[in-house]
Amino acid sequence: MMVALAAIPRGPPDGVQLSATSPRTHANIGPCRLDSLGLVVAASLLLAVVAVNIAASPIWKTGIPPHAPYCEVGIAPSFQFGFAELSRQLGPVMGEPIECEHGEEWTVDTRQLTTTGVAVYHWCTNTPTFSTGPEGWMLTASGLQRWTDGYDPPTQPIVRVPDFRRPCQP
Amino acid sequence: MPAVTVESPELRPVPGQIATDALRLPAARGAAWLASLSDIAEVTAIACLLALLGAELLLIRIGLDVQDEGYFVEQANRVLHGELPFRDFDSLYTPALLYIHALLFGAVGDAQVLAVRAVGLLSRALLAGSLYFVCRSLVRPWFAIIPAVYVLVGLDRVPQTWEPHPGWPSAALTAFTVWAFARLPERSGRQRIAWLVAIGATTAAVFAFKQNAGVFLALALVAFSAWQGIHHLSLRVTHTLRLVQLLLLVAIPAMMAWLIRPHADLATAAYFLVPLVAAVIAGIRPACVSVAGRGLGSWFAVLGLLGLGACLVTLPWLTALIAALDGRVDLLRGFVGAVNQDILWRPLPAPKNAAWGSVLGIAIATAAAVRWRRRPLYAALAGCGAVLFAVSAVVLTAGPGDTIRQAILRAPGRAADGMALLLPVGCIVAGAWQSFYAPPTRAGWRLRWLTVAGALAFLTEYPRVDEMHLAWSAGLPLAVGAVVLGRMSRNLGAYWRVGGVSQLALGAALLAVPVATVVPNLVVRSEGFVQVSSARGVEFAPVVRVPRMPGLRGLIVTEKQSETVLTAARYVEDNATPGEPIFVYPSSPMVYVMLDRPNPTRFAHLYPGAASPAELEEVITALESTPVRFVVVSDAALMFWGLPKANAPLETYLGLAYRDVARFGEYRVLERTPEAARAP
Repeated sequence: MMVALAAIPRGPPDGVQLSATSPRTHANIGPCRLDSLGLVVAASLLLAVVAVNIAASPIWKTGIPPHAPYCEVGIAPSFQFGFAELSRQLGPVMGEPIECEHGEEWTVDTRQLTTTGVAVYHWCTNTPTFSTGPEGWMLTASGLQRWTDGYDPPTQPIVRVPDFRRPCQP
Repeated sequence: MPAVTVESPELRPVPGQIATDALRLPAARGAAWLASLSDIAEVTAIACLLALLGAELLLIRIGLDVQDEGYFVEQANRVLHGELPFRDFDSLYTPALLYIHALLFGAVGDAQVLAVRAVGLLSRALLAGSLYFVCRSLVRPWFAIIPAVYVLVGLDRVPQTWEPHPGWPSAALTAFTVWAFARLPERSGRQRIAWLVAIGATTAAVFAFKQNAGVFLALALVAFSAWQGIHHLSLRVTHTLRLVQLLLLVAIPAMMAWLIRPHADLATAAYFLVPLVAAVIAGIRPACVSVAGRGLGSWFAVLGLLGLGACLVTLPWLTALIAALDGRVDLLRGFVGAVNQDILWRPLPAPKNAAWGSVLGIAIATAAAVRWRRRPLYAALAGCGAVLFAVSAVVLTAGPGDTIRQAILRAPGRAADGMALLLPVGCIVAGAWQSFYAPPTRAGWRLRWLTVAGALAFLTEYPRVDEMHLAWSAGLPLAVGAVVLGRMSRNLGAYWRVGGVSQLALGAALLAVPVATVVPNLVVRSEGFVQVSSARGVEFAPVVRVPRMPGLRGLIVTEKQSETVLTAARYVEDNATPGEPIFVYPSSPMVYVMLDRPNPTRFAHLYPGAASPAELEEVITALESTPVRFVVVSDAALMFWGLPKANAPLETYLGLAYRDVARFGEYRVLERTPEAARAP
């Protein structure tokens, strides 16, 4: 900022008339060299800042997986925790994850789309589920269970103590 | 060949000012032509401002801000129902706007939201006009409209939120007062006395709307009248006044350093203190000591007249308020800044990347291309530099998963994200730089006044260092910036001998940074109303007219708002008895208004830290003793404010005594459990 300001000729004082010849006269002396120098210095500094940041940017890193929804940069979608166990038990039925696990809007549950359906973790009942639409599976305390009447799994007992921010409807 | 005299734009006579001799010189025909061009520019500039205000008027029915708009409408309703601010409910600001709103509500019936927006629009008009005329006496019309246009386009957030905040009228009156003070050198005798009293009165009016804005404006008047007097011919001062000047020079930055000490990291200190120190140094510089100079008596006379005006406005309402509070002045501690700053504090956000360098680089490379336009090789190099900076902006801001087209289209907004916060600082420092060298003319005196007033007005940005509050704190600093830009354009244009296309390119280079910083706000303004996707292009969100509902007559809201907050309100209306108190948590007080149900607590916004532990106990007691059956909760607001922190006892109570009975998107309705209802 100050370099750029220093480069700017301050012009004649207020109250003093500029004549048509005065710019030509001033053009060949100090201020003009100074403004050129100021522009070069300022542009060079900015170019250096930008170049350093581009050099440090992740675009140069190789082997980074393509970006998937809800994933941090460089992270590939994968099944974690209950979904990983459910996938291990279901095998190819659950397909491959196409996004990272993420919270559902305005519920306490999380979800993850796969190539064959959607996995949902029900926080209140501590139940990971997977549904392809017409049929679904869930991991309960008594093992893997299957249902065939739509997306919503059969009601499970609430195992969490509900609180104000995470209400669990009976 | 005789030299042709060219009138400097800054020397153009302003209305009410005696024409300079330049207009009577042989080049009078040319001067008249310039004057006519200037008149056309003046009319066009004012028409632009009116068009922008007209566009806001067209949007006056659109949208609903349940948080901040709700805060001010609910409080004004409480006043209308006979409650007293500070005693019956908590309020952050001095009460003028509350009473103006309440007065209007008595006249407009159910169109309360439209009424507060109309007040906001009038304030915006006064702010825009004052900023224009403040700048106009120093620069040409196209530069004089920059701060007003920037505030209306780049900082205002209509229709996303109308923010009927006291910041609007206080900023408008501050700019008006600064304009009035800038005209003082043209007044004399009784007229000058009357103007000083009036300036004191408008400063007090600023205080009545927003206390910190009034205090900082008063400080600017006190300091500047000591440093520079009330006209540009009072540079000689006595030893005593010089001592006072130096004391003020030290005291003002010291006071600000003391104010920000709870959050004084290096960035915050630099953000507020660097422009302030620069401005006060520029403000004091040209004075010289002489026994025959201006003395303390002259300064006290000015302060006396300003104080008289301030007392005429402040004493009546403050006396009445203290009497109504039964002398409990402790309830007014917020008037002197004795508030919990921690809950209001929002730190200066760090830049997300170095793309700000690209924006500045484009501006400088364009200026260099203009500078070297007669040297093709250098000009080509500068042009390549501009392209290089533009490409770097895209590379540095491209998001994961963006297509090339998306990355290019979104780059300007992303690159300039956060730069708006730094713009006022740059403007004040640049203004101080120019003021430092300005000669002791009327224009120099005005520039110094504008710089000092802008630097002090900018302090209202503390403690909420965010872009929303810039709308009320940045107007005058931007006016300083516009004057600097105008002079840079004139001086560079003269020394580089630019004209035609190169003049336009120079203007583009000077305006590149301000224009880029407007883009992020345009995105914010359109959120919820306009959706842009690569598949469907630009789509407007469906909107619905609000059916008859208290306070909201005439409004048009998005379908999403209708299905969430309005439907939640209707659910409560269907199940609660008329006039039954409800509780809205943590910060959607418009629900009280749209249901016409009283709030049994002192708080419209109850975010973590807003109430002390003792006050939270009072809230719980109020919910128990009323008893309140229905609570409306916004999960979006809970997420926005983060962890419960100090509000944990209240949230524990709500979790035990209430159960969810309905959900409408982000809104939940809770009903008192039968067990809690049976409890004594």
